[in-house]
Amino acid sequence: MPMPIMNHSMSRQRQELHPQTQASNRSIAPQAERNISRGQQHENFLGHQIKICAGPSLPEEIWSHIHSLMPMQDAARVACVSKAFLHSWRCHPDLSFTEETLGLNKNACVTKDETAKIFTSRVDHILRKHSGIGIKTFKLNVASVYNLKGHCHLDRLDWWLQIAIKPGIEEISLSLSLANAKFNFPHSLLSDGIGDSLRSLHLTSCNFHPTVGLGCLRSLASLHLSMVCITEGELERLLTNSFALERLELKYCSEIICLKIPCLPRLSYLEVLICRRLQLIESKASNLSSFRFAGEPHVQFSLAETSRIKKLDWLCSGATFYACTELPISMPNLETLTIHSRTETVNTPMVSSKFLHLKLLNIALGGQTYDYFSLVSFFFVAPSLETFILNVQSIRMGGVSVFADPSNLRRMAEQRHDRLKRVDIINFSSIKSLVELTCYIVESATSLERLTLDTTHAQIPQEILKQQNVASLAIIQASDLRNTISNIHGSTDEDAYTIAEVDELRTQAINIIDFYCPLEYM
Amino acid sequence: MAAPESGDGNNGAARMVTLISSDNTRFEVEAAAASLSQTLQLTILDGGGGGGDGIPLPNVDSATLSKVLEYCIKHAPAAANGGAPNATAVDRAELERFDNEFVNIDQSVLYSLIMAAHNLEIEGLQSLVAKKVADMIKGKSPMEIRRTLGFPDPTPEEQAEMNAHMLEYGWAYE
Repeated sequence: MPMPIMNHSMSRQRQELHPQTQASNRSIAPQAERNISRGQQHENFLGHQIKICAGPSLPEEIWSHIHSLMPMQDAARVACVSKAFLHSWRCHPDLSFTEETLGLNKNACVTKDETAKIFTSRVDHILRKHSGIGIKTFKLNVASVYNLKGHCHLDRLDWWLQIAIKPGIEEISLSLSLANAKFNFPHSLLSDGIGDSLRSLHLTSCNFHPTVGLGCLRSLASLHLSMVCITEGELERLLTNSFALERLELKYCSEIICLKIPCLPRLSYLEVLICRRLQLIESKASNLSSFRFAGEPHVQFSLAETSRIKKLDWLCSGATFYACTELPISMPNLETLTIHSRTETVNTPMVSSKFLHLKLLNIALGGQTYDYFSLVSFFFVAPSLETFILNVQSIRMGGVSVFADPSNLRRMAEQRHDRLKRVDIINFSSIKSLVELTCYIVESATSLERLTLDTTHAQIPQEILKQQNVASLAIIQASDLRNTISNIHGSTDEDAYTIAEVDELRTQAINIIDFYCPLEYM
Repeated sequence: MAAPESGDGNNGAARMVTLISSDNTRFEVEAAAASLSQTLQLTILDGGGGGGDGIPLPNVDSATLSKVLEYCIKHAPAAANGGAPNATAVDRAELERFDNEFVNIDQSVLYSLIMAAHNLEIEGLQSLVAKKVADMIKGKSPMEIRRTLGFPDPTPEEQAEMNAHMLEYGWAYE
């Protein structure tokens, strides 16, 4: 806390700070403020002289500011408290229309048609009363769009957008329902410089065909298009004119075959998910640090400066093989890698290249014949790895159970992965190669602090589940930690089972093992 | 410019400046911290506040000014980095923790702070305190809000206006 210094100018004549501008630019004259705080009369609210208490003595523009920070439903409710609030409600900057904000999600007994009708009339009412001034955020999220005459959102949508999209608009989010990509987003509303202030454009399920007339969206930092009909030429032109773009997200935009991203110096986040006809992503953005992709394995990539990418999410069949063999070379500075591969047909090979900075590896993986033990190679590829999360996707079909063939569990000669601190295996089961992998981790991760074996997957047949729990317990037991296991969420009667091979495992520094199994086995 | 004249010829680079509260208490702070105030920034750039001179703030009493400066000193390093785009998560968490504790204060102090932040045009502080008041109001009925904010009970006319509004925006009260 700053301490006052000795006052040696008590007699100094006080001067006001910029007395001229202060009086003209602000609604509070300094003198008035002093008076108010001494509890005198004031007429800021409701046009009446009211006795001033501490609260209402603030000038109207401050109350407006406070009011503007409230969510729409609260703002509508408190508008009646004072004239200042009523006034600021009519200029409320944040209009967010969803069934929730309009108080519609609580009426479960109302039919969808009625909901749509009420939704439309409430939005209409709010916008009719709104001054149309100062709107910064316009969000509309319609769970289902009805085309029935009289209560169609789409009939009114053009008018709503005309009210909302004015100079100063910063955020537009329009989310229509799945099957209704019929609405043409009126991009012309953003032309003539009106789009200059726009920072975020988020469109779901509509047509968006920007023309040359749209011009530059000079402030646009975030563009999200989901189930939007836009051609690759239109998108490329839009991107070229959005040189401040930081985030680009495209989902289910099936018209795009070749995605061309120009040199956008600020673009750091790119997400391209399930664009069905996509063949090629070509990006000249040189500052990309985070990339998320979901799609077909045949999609080609031509990305600039991939060594700057630190975070990658890769959702694609065969992604594990690709991640181990290709990525250490093309994206050597990755720190976080998430892989989701529903079908992994080739086992993960040992390679010599490395991710020197990879700290977190999250793999969700399926494949009938996949050898989970081959994932061991990632511990060599990523020597700095601290967290390893594996989500097994092929519980029902994959691999031989360790109970069917308990012999000759594979092991590797003395290895140490001493950076690894946390391992989660979700959908842990008795698949032999998975047990081998787990044993390997327990044996070689000398600094492991936490191991989670989660067997709570609901769809496993009971017999298998029982076996899995036994397998999990066997590992726990084998690691000779019975006295330090603090988080066993469930247990079976058969915890006397052990597997001879893992029995020999030496005690590790692990102090917590989480073991989850369904309640009926607790 | 009506800024106080600088007696010692210091320019905007002056490291320390003196601020004088309405009750004539003098506070010496780094110019960088005081410059979080848009109003003071101009004065400091004009050469005011240095040496034996001080910048009088006739609208801010010493208790409030002390609180305001506590905020400015804490936030000055981050503000100097242009909103701290390179700040670590730890730094940001620390500022957030500070902010949360900072506004955990008596309502009357809160209002004095709002006025001071407004007068001195300290954007971050204005938002922080306004958000605190907005949070105090959230989820309350109009009458509860009036009481929370210290409004007097409504006159019959005001009550009629309130009722009409509640009817009009019935959904917002559900």
